Amino acid sequence: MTEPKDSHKARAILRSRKRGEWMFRLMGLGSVILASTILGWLLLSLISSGHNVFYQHSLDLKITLDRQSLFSQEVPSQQDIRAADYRAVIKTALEARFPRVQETDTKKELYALVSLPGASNAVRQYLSENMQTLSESRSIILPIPVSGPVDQYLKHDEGGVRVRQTMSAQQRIWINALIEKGDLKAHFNMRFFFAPDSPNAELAGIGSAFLGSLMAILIAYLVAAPIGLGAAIYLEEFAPKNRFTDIVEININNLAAVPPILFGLLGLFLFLELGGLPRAAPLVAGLVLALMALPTLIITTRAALRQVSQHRVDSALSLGASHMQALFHHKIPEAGPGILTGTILSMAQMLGEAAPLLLIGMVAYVSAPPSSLTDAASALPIQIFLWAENADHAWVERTAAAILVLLVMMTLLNLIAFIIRSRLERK
Amino acid sequence: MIDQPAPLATSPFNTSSPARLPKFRCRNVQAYYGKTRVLHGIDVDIPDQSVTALIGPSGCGKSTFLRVFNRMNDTIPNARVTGHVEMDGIDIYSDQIDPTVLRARVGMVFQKPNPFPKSIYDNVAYGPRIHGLADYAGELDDIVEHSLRRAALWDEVKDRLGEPGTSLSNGQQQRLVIARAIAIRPEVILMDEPASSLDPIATARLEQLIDELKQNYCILIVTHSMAQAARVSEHTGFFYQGALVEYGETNQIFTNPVDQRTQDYITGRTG
Repeated sequence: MTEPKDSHKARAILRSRKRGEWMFRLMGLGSVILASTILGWLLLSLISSGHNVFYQHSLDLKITLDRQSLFSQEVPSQQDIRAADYRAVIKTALEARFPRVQETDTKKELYALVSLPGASNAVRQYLSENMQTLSESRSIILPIPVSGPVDQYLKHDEGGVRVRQTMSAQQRIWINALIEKGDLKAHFNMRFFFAPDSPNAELAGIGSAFLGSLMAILIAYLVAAPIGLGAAIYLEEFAPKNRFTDIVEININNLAAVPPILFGLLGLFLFLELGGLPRAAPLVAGLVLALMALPTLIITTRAALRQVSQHRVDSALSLGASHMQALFHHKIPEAGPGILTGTILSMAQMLGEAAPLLLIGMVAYVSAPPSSLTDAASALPIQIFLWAENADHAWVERTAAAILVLLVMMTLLNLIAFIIRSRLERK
Repeated sequence: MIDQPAPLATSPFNTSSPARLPKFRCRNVQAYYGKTRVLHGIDVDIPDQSVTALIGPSGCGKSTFLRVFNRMNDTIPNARVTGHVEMDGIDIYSDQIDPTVLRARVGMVFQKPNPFPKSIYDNVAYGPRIHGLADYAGELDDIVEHSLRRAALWDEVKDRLGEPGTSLSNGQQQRLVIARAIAIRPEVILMDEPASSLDPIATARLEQLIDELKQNYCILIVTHSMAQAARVSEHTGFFYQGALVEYGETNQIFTNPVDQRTQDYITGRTG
């Protein structure tokens, strides 16, 4: 076999082509590794600083409840129980636990072991559920949340220089004594998930922010889904092709790229100034998020509709189905998984949106969970934003934990979307 | 040019047409996609109760012409059909004709078998349901059974009517689609390359079915296979670049074509 005249050149070209492909692959692989490293590092740092929040310490304290010192009435009502101050009771209990403490300053150090507002709450809740304790005037043992610094101290293996500095030598002696007695216990931190925000890190939870987010997303879904679906179907199926619809289409595509904060401004003007709706309400948040979700929703729905094979639609039409029948019997059901996925993904995106909510007043500290759609509320990303301002280690941990919760929720939503799509598309 | 409906048929729903009259009369039919003209004035009469094959190279306009008869071109944006098309003497492009009613009389089978993602039963029952053809409870069952029998599929699927139509083989799917079209009692069946995705055995079954169906229906079939056209049809039209170059009895077209272009195509020199 004789080689062609320019085989040398051909081989050189082949070599350089192969080298090019190899380089390209290498760069692609590099980008993937870099991206996943950064993501992994982010997740790891979140977990390492946030995991501590998921458990918390409490102190089993023997408390004596004496009706006469607490209430002026013979039989206190629920109202009285709610209004009463239990700090004194806690302080007395602590003093009883360490009877040798006499000086005022040392006493203050002693009281700082527990979270006084948290302890008061614990007693209050216990009393409202067990009123008869008052008449019997006996002692009970209640788990009292320890103060933030003590919790930090315990979590960090009584170590960390920074943490240790917040504890006096005397306090450390008390803590060790309590540990030895087995009165300090770690337990799963339910409070973090269900409690509202609080100025005290050890008491703060994402409960009300979570509820606010849930309400807002629900509103956003109820408003955006039908409007987006209707607009997409109309534009895709019925709208005439002319300059006006072209402009509408371009604008929808552009709106999808508008910075979120502008939607917040729009919502501020539209719903608060013109509509007169209350600030920071989940209703307004939902409406703003719906506005924001609409362009993406319309775009994904149209894409899903366009992916339906024209053959099936033609089949229905050829059987004498009207345009509407072909649409609702065949095209939309077939586009269903795509539409649903798009909707869920855009809702997941809205769940993490903070900027537009800041503009409609969701920046203030809100402690009570919203009881209606027009109550002032917070939202998860807002809560994270607010907590992130605190440099204190307990708050940093809580911020990380809240981010983790948000991430888990978004991952779940994405997973649901993925499952729906693969389920329905297999048919 | 025929401007007036033939006197014999008076209503668009009149289904009785004497066998000798053509089912369709086309005069100067032109079709446009946007500004591009894809059919250049077709004049042809299509006989009833027989098979008419439309052949020609890709892009010659034969599929577009087929879709003239059930006004499926109406569903394509920018598509436009002009000229005169009569079915049983009635202008099917007049304003009084509702395309959905027309399509109930002119069924269509497409190139790719495309059953709906529903059960076999529901596939066949879809047309009768939307047109309200079944009056009492058992009638729909009867229509489904009858249609599946006519499409020579009943024996293969009678025990699994609840299974999805997409679970059938390609050939079965194509017969299911024919049953689905038959179920709305059309008079005409349009077939757009119905065998192009079938294997030879399924194709043979399909051709046998077409042969049986022509007793009752006017069948138009677009095909790429000249052998198939020769086997199943009585009449053949040869399309070339948007024009109906030659139309006549199948025998004559394949043995003694008049036009040079037809000759070139059927002998394999073009196309």
